[in-house]
Amino acid sequence: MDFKIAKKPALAMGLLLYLSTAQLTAVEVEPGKESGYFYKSKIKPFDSEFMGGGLLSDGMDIRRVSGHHDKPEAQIAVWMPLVEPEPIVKTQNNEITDATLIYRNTGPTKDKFPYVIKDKGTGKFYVYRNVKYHWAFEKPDEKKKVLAEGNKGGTSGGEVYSPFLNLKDANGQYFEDVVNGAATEADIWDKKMFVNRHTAPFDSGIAGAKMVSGSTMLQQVGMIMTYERAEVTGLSPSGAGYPAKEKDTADPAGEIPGTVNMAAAPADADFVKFGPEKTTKPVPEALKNSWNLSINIDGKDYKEFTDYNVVYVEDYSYPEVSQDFLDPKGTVYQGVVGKYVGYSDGKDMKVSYENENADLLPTSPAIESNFDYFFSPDELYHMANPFYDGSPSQQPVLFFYFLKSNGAYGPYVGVCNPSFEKDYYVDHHPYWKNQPKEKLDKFMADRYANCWEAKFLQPWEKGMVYYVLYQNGDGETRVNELNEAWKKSDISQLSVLNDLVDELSGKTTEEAAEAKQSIEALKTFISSSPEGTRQATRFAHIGFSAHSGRCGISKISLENIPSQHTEEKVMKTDPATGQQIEVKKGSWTVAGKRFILPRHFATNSIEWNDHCTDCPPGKKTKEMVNYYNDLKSMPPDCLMTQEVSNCCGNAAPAGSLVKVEDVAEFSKPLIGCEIEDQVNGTTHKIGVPPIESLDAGSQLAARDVKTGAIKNYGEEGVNEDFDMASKDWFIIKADGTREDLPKIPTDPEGPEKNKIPVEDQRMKFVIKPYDNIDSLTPFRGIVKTEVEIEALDANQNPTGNFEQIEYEQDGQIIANAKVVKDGTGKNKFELNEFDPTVQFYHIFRAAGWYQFKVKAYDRAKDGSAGQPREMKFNINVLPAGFNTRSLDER
Amino acid sequence: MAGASLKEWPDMKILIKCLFVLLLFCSATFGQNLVIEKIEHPLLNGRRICAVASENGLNVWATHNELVLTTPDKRIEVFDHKNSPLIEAADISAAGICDGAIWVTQVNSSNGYGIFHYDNGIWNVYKDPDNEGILNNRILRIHVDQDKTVWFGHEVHGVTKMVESIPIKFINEKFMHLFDNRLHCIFMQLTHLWVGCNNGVVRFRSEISSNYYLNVDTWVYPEFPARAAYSICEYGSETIAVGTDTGLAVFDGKKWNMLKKKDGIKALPALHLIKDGKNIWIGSSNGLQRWQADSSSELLTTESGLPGNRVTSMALQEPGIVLVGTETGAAIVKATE
Repeated sequence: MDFKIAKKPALAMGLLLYLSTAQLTAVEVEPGKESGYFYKSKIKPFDSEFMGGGLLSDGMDIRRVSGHHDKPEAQIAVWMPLVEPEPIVKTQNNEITDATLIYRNTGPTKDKFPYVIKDKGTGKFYVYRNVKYHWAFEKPDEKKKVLAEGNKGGTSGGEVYSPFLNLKDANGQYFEDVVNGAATEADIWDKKMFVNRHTAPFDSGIAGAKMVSGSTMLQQVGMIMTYERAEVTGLSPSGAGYPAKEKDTADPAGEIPGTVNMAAAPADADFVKFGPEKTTKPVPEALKNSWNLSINIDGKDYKEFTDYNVVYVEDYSYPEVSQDFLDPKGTVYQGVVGKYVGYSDGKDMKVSYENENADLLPTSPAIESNFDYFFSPDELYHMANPFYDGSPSQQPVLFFYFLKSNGAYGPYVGVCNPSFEKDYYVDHHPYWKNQPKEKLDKFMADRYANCWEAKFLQPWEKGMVYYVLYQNGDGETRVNELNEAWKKSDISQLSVLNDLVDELSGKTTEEAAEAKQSIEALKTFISSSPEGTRQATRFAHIGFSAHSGRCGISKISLENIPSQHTEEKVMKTDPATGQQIEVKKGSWTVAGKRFILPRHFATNSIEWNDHCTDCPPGKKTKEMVNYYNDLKSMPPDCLMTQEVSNCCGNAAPAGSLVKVEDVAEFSKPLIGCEIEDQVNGTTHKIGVPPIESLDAGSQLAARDVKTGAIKNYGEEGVNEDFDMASKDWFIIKADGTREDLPKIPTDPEGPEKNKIPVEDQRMKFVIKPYDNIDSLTPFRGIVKTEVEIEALDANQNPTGNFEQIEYEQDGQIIANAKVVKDGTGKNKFELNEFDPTVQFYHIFRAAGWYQFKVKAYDRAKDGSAGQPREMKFNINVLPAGFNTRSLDER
Repeated sequence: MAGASLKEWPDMKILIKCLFVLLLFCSATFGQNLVIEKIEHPLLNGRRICAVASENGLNVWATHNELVLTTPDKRIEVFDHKNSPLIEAADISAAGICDGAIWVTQVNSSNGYGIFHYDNGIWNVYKDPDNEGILNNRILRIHVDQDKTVWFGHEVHGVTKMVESIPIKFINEKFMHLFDNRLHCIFMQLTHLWVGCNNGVVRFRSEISSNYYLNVDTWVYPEFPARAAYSICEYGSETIAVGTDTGLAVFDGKKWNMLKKKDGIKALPALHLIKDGKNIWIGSSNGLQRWQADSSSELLTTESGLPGNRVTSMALQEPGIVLVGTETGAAIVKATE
């Protein structure tokens, strides 16, 4: 079909354009109603994101040309009228019905009248001229910031008329060309279409980031069609008129078959004018309560249009986040291992922002703030798998990452996939990826062998772990369910709970019995715990990134509730124009307790703050978004990022490092000591266990042997040396019962006398210290270990005489009064070659009392020896004949 | 960028020779006449297989940032960040083959890297906003439908399909439900595009050309009998099955019914589904099963010869033969009945 492009619309042909001059407010439409109307409208926009497959534009939202989101003038829509002069009927799919038949004019008048239309009902023939579409677009409120020129309105169509509408030439390149200046509005591929720059946002925020239905702030768009029509008689068409069937596309390829020769054009007087009075209709019901757009044509204002529409115009402005938060290397936030941000100073995290879209409803669920943070994967725990039935498809042990509940938020949980971790260490870790396979395999195996027990979890916390990890399902979905259940106090939200319970009910192991109790505790906790708040999500999922080697808390969305979000409208001076504009000022507060800190990672970790590039200067949001995206692909530890959005992904990021100090009760090194009596085969395991290995609610305590005084250290750990020489250590369980910690028997009359060491007998000592930080590395967080054995007198007082200890060092056997293993000063990679374990054989040549002392140092931030912990206990070495006498006594 | 040729990779020649000579197939014949052939390739052995694809004997195995291609004539090609546009610091999220051209996508925790395309020795990269029509660059799934249309499932917002043209074009479809939920799988059933996510399923009736908002149906829990929809395949005539935590949810056009352990389904959660005649291959975190209704079948595990219990990816090579990626290696499983 040849479509002759009409002359450029002559705007000066006596048709004054548009414009509403009144200050308008955008249409307030009930959610759902505006979308119901939109689909009925016969004026529709293409924006730059239309689908190029030939479908009609289906969106009622206007977005900016891709790649030009920072340019308000790039928010272009091409408006197309699906309305034709009477009696032509067009559908919303750009089809022409057979209410009329169209013939191609082959006569001498074809230039001005390329088509002749026959009314099928009456049999009359018509020609048209000056078919014009007058467009009006709602102007933004004067209080809004002027972004660029636009919404001017105008006229499309022209002197020469075609009933067809060219859609097949629609392509995205046009939009790009208009933005770049390579094309203008006048270059539109079909002159019936009108190009408008929607330079002001009409966006009150929509539900989540959903599409526009639900918005309450939409831009009004109206169109009035005017035209002139003349009846023509004496025509003899040839061939079939178009369409040949009930309806067919109004964008046919090639020429239409039917033709007619119109030798002479009708006289001017024969043309009947169809002005606004004839072509407009009342405001539709759906828009009646709020429609206030008008248009001026030929000096007269009209409030009714040929057709109406409302569109959502995407707001691309970013909230401006306060500068003092943009400090990824700063010292804004502090925390303590195992606690939360603000534990010491009570500071929550607050982000202030300014939003230039004053229409944004404060209650809009589109206004969001999300935060996430990253940390080392050494926060690794294990529990027996209660579902394990011996089948090869199951693992007997569950490995998971875990941040413990603090009574208000948490816990945060995620499964540990060894294969993901292996990808990181094999392919990306700067040290391990270069190590031999055997060494790497040992390192990986030791990670899981040395990871922390999870006995200290509350029963309901264990229940949560079982639920999240059940059958290796999608952990994030499980956590989302738990949050829904928490908010609604409704365990029916947990979709696999019944299956989990059914599976446990068939098992009789001790682990399964405990798991059943844990699940019951979880149910009770979800249903009726008075802890914390039900208005906010409590739990979060921990994921692991195989390329950065970091655990990350899945984005936590802050709830739009008064305790977390405040906002108000204020006036400020637009620096560009000097005008007063209305903006929204607000703030988001993240409760410090939401930022649960790991127990096993801090600023003295060898991975701390490994890779943090400088933040770009200034506050350009796009650069900040790119900066934080790059940073998060290889995040430094304890990077926290928070996004503040107004709607539809216009989120401004901010971030900070959280300095986690290793100053908790449990922060000093732990020491495990095994003493194997190589004669009687007894192995004594001496040491104070970590809190993680104690059942929930247990407390460590010690009784002074001489005075009988008892010191209860509570549930948090022991912040002093382990004096097992003058104190007896024990655990007080939650039910009040007491469990003594093992020690070497010393009473030759006691029940364990046969296990007491004897002189001249070989004993093997293995001392394994480890710290809460870096405990899953080869050096186990310890940079120095010192061991000595001092002879005591009969009253167990020090004599100053130390045993010579023979031990291996650098392939040689040396003897010294003190064994020292020293890794201070080694860098973080060299420390992977350092083993703080001390092992030696010793023979006590004289009976008597001895005091065994070991001192272990964790790593300070600068790599030197940090916090020390000393453990000492007394050994009573009996005379050589004791064993023989004991046997005789039996 | 051209792919590595065998001439430029002398080590690979030696490797292939070794493979021919030393290639160990650990075959295990199992009750259902299934034979498992473990792939003993150094790049795949013991490694997490992130994606697999197969077409006419061309097999693609993807570790987290490398591709291993095996051709019908037994050649092997390997692509990584050094000889292709693949990103070192990102995971391969999906792979697909259509008419001999290979499609790959990669993401990491914060970025998406668009679409990588390898055809006739040439690599191309397609990304938003450089290539109009691509919804965004975080793509998690690739699905080649029976009409040879390549679909890309984005983590959020919707899907993109490739339009065969010169140059290649893309068209996207946005789904409201996916603005707040994360995609798990996509599957085209004739003209119905099914999308499984962490919160139910979405069906897009692509044959209806009017506004997409009106031709999209969404089912969430409890009407859809699970939360997460991990995988989708055809079930019977005009019915589909969706893999969930506790079974296969079957949609008969009106409502959902759940097939569970009592129906013989052992491979749970059903993360991967492939229809193969009357059977459905089900890949789970706990093994592989070739399941058929009203028939008992065993769960294949490491004890059966699978390199790992956690199935990470699957592809049908031909009827009765499926490529299986696990967390610790790759295998080909053949039904010999």
